[in-house]
Amino acid sequence: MQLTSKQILGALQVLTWIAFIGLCIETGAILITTSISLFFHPEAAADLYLGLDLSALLHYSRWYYVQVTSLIIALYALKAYMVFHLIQILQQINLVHPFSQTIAHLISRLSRIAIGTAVLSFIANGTVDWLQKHVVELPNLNEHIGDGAAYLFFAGIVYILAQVFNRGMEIQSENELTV
Amino acid sequence: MSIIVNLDVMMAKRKMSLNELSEKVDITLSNLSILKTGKAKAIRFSTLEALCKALDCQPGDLLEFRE
Repeated sequence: MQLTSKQILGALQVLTWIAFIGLCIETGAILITTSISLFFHPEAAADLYLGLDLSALLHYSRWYYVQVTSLIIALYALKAYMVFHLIQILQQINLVHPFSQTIAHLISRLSRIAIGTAVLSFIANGTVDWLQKHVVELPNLNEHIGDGAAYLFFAGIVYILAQVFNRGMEIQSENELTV
Repeated sequence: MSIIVNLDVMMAKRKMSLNELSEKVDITLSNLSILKTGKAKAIRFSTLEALCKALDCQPGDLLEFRE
């Protein structure tokens, strides 16, 4: 049996919902464990989320610890926000009239959020590198911070898609107003 | 747009209603309304031909260029 576009979109919607819930859980978990390690039990910094150990950083400086965890939490939150936009796009898409103002706005916003995530990821990578060189040994944080260049590439692709979408909207409206 | 569609003028001259024209040229009322109100961005030759046939006129009677 061949999969239709509608079925693929439905499956994608389910997958994006799972990814969104997962990212929300990750953001919430790190936020809560960070708060606990800062205000109640500093030993919680040894396992913030799935073995993420920043206890050495917390022992060295509370300020650096807040800086790094804030960057990680912000990145997870931005990733969740990007996936939330993807869910909205998948919900709004109509294959009969695919080009709509709402989707064009959502795609443009998604590209802007991706650029923001890329910038934040570059800042986070720079901060972690600097801390590792000059302050204290840190575990590998690539899994949590991600690759800024990849986000930038994604933002570029989505931005181009947004421009194509805007042109598609003009063509669609022209086609609808052709008698 | 500087192209004016004089569909209402021709319809009045031929004493034809929008419903009647819609049936004759097999175009929906909403599309004829788009044409009549000047919202249309393009017109197919087939539509123009059908309109000219139904209203017994020339394309120039339906379309006009104004600066």
